[in-house]
Amino acid sequence: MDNGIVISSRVRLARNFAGYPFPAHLDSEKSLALTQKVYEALGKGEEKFSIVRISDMGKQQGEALKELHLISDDLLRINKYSAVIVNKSNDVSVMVNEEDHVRAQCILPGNLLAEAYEKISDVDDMISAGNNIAYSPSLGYLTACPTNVGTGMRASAMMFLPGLSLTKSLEKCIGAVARFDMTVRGEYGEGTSSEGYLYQVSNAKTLGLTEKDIVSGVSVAVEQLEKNEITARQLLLEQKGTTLRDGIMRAYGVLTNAYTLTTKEFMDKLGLVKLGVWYGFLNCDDVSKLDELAKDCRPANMTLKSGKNMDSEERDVYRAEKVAETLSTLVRKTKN
Amino acid sequence: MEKMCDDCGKRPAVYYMKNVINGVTSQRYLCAECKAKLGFTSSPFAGLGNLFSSFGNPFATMYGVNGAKKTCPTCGYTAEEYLGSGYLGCPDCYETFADLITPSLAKMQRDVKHVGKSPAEFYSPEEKQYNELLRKREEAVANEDYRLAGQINEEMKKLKGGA
Repeated sequence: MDNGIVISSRVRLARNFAGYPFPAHLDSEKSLALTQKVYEALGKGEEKFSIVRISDMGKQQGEALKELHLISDDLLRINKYSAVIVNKSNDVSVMVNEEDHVRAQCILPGNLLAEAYEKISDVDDMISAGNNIAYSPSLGYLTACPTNVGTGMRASAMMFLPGLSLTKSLEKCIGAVARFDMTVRGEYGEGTSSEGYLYQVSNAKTLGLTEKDIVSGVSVAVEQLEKNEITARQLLLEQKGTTLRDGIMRAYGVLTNAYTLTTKEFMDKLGLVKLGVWYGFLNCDDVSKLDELAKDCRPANMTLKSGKNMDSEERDVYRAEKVAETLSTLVRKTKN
Repeated sequence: MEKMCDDCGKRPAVYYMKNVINGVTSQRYLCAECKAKLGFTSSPFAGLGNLFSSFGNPFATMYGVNGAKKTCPTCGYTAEEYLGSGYLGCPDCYETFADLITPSLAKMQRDVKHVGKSPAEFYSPEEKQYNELLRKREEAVANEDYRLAGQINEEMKKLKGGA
């Protein structure tokens, strides 16, 4: 059964066109030409894609796409003529003129790294067909930063790790996976702290391994972390059961009653509520709805959905209201 | 065994320095004091911060200015720019700055040879033919034409044996 520890799986491939400078040094004409090239290549497949150019994008929309992991900060920063091309189901997004000419990613819910790779490899084939891709038989796909050269591939899993985090054993686990060329970071990547006990585990090495090796390497790290997480949760219950349950019930109390909620407080307390569901202190028929709520309550996505123009205080009030409403129907106290 | 400083010979070396000048490689091990004394105050990789530290490299690598004079003929990017930022200007920079990139790849990726996927046009004619047969065999199996699938299988075996 899905225990909710692996929230989503993501694989991204970095590609560049031969004969063009990397996006940080690309003029407007060539930038636009490359965007068109990629969009046309994707138009040849069966799946429908739509394009959003950064120049046409409002600040709020850019932030919202970032919150959903469909685009990165670099896409908004490096090249004025960048764009993102997404499919209808939003599980494939292709950034053009980010750090590399093409950053194609597939993000799927749950533990589905191999499937995500298959899907994005097909998209890569479409982009490569008839185009001259920067590739060297010895170094593989050539990327703007040598940390991505070779496969140009980053496979990552978003994991919910409250047990390891609360028992302060995450540091040790990070050290252990680092020995296998894996990295663990906060939800929004390098330099971000974790909110809601969410962590990304991904491969650090991109050269000298096949794509399958990378998928299986990350999968092994994910499996190990998952096992350790369950052990940590059991330990926590045995050693600090009362404090733990009290903390979880208080978090539930705050989320269903507070008048304002910041994103961080909401995310951290929602993490505890999810943990409470796992222990059986709380009842929830569909935990994936809680993850959806987390996405909907990110500042930019929430503002866009509300259709209102809110400052941060108004947003925190609006969030508290929405969270209380959803949680009081979705999550119930168990009777023991 | 602990490596001692090449300059004073007294203290253990904590820095490893490698220079590539006109294709000739020279290397030195230095302790912190001698490194400062000799004027190597900062590593060109310092700006990369955690990018490189995550690879657990025990020695900070330094490249002398002499090793970093080249300019990429395609995009005009210089070796200094690469060493300062960790980024390259265009795909051709990999060839221009191979002297600088290969040793750093060996350190951060602990590999210098690609073994994964390649764009279709880089397949050899045999690989292309093999992939085409593979596709036809899958099609035959899907159509439940096992005789055809068997024939294709034989062809694939021959191709593999000959390659």
